[in-house]
Amino acid sequence: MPYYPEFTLIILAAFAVAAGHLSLKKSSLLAGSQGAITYLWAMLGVILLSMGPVAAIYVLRKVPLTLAVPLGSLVYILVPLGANLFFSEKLNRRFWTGLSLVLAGIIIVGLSKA
Amino acid sequence: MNNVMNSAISKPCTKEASHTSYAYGCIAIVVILNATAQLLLKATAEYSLHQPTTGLQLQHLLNVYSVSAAVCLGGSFLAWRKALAGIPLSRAHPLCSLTYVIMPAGAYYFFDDTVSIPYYIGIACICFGIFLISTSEEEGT
Repeated sequence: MPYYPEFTLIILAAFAVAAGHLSLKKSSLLAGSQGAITYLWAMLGVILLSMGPVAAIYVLRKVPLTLAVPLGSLVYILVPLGANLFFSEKLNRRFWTGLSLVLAGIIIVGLSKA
Repeated sequence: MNNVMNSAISKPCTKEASHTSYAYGCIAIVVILNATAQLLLKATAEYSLHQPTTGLQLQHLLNVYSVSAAVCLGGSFLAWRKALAGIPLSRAHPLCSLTYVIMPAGAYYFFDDTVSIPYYIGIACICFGIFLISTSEEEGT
């Protein structure tokens, strides 16, 4: 497989973006109670979220979209898992069925553009 | 007496429901702003390609389209934060994939992009998946 560094970067970026969403959730939960900490979480969220487009620009110069899109949609799995882990959000079978359909849809849409 | 009790019970529920509706409204704004930003970035790329000099230059990337895209993304970020305060992240995040539904419609209208059959199939999957996710809370665990 010739794209090991790029694939690693996409996976790391997916984790960073997921962590960014979790930071923003934390910041929105703290909003109104702890001013400075709220903004620190929000700032962390912005920094982590901005890693996604930066990595995409770098990776898409070398990796075809057909390979990048399925890996990039890893975010859609990581975010609910993180929300379940850190915020105890409940995920049932109906949720995972829906998420699988969303993922399939994103991959089909991404591949049809390639 | 019953009326008093009913109003005491229903008030928090109504407040919670309006809070959730507000959060879903914020997500709609996020989706619209994200799709608009993507279309504006596409317009930026098209604009820079039609400039007389060759290659991608910074002054061609800084124009009314790219600045508007940045404003849209900033607004989307603020709306996203508001949305996250009202609904669980695991439910809110998949809803953002609705951007993939709006974007091709905009690209078709403004840039004459072609929309293929697999695209429609993908969009149908996304919409049905979102329906299942947004109704999954009612089902319980």
